[in-house]
Amino acid sequence: MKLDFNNDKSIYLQIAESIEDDILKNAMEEESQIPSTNQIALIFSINPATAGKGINILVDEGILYKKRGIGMFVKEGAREIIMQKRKGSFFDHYIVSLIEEAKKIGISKEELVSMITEGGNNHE
Amino acid sequence: MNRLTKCLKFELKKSTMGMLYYGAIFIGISALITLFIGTGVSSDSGDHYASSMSFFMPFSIFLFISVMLTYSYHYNYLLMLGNSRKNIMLSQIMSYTIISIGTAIVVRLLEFGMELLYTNLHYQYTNILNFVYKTNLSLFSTILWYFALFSFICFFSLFLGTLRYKFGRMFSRIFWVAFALSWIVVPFIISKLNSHINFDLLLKHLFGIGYKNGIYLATGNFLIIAALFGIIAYFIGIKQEQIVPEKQQ
Amino acid sequence: MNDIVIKTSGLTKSYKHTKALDDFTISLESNKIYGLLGRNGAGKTTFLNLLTSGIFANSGNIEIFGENAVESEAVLSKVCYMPEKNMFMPKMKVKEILATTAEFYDSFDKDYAEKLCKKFSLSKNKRYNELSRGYESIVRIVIGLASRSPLTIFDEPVLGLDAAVREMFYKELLEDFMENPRTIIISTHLIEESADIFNDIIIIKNGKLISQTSTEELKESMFYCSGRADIVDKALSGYNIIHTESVGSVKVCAVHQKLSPAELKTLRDANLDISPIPVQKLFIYFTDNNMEA
Repeated sequence: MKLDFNNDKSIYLQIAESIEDDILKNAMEEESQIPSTNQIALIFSINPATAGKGINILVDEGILYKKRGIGMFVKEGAREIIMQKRKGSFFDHYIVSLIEEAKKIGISKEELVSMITEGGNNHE
Repeated sequence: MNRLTKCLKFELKKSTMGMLYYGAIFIGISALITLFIGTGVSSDSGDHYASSMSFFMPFSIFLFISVMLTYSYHYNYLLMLGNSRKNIMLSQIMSYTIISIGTAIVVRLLEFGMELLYTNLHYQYTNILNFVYKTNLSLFSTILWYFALFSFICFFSLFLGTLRYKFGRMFSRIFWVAFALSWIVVPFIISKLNSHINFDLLLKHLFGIGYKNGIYLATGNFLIIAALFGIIAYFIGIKQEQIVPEKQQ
Repeated sequence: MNDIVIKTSGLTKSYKHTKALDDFTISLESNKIYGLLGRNGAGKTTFLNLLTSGIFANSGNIEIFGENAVESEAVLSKVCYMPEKNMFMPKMKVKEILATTAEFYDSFDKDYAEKLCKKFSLSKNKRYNELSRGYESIVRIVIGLASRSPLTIFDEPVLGLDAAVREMFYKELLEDFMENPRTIIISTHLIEESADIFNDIIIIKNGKLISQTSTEELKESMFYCSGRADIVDKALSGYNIIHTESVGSVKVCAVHQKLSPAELKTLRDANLDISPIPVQKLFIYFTDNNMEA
């Protein structure tokens, strides 16, 4: 889990995303316990309410759930939920700015597509 | 233990510890000095008299200065600890009353010790109060007299302390200037007014000289004056806004 | 929902010709860490002194724990106020200061105070006037934290402390706050490093309350918009611009307006750069005398 204080994104959103990333990477497995609000607050020296706000977003989205008296757990099926969610915003978050930047520096659509294909091949 | 008692405990502890540390040294030295001066005094009959002022004076001066100077520290610290001004002022009044009694007893005991010492050294010794009131006084009445005088000194000093807190540096300046000038101004005023007011008589009334049981009259007078200053100090203190003096910062 | 721990209404304190605090009306909830921010002389310390009956208001009410707080020992015995100015007795040893505080505050935790002294390397045998400026602050930190008072107030708690010790303080404060919830107010000018420990931030300017929001809301209330001057002017017309800087044909504006994601997208689509404003600058803009709140 990481936090970038210089980032423009609100801290509670960063916490939510950071936990999502860890779930996607399987660093936090489904049905496993995650650090508590207080623990997260202490690690990053932030108010527990802020940490709690980030966690509550994930609870509302069905990614985390609370076991009374024990703590916060990753819900079964969380990975799927996160992937769907991220797929939904993938276009706006990445594609749009990719195309903007390409336009800005004069990369053509064909060059862009071939770059993506090449990048995809390298990654495998 | 309620909060007033806690304040009182704090005040007593601070004041008596202060007296022990500085009083002991200061008083010891000045007592020695006055003793040697005292032993030089001789009456008409050639007897050497020792002055019982040797303990009374240093204690008086010490009380007068320390009560006034420590006031702001006690006030601010007790205020920071969440006490009401009423309790702070009441605890000061109670503590200085107790200290006046305690000091009166201690001074009398010291003088008693001196008396024994002098008698063994074959000096004549008389308590100055015996001299002033021209009668042999009981231990009880002299302790009472000392208590009244110490009370007067403490509460007058407390009153000055509240003024010093209120007016800060300006007070200190005015005080020292007034103190210096008073040596000239006061005798001058007295001599001017002497035709209208009989100061001799006034002082005699105040100290109860020439009266039967005059020492008790003096005690009563000084306790009343002390109480007046105490009451004035109380009302100044309970309305006072907090000031942190620069030198304390 | 938290209780209201402090409630003032119409609080005013005047000195000769100026109002140190002007018609100050505020409600603070319990079990939160509040940051009290303002320029020098804005009225922060005046407010805190009024809360704790150090000084008296010309008009207005102060309620703490639901009771009238003025000269009330029932209230003040549950409030630990560590002022910026020195009110300790110079010759008192640290251990005596701790013992005396324990006497007057029922909630004082001696073991915790002991632990804190070790943690911050505070020597208990030193007299207060023998301490350096930094250790004077540490005494206040130790007492303030160990008091565990339901309302704990720090006025500039980290003056004279290096960054490492300041960090220790913030962490310790958070940890103890989580374990022992209480209401804490911290008045500070070091906004950048402390903003994220606060639940809410209160901003005072010229004796008036000009803002009381959560840290996030404050951060999200303003943004920088930059780009070609003519585009910027057109895109931001109608919005509340509180600061402008121009370099050549490029203009940067600080905008005090909460925009929806769609509105922000419109600006980005117009080739304008949108970025957040650092907390320090937010504070400066808010308290600049030219700006209307």
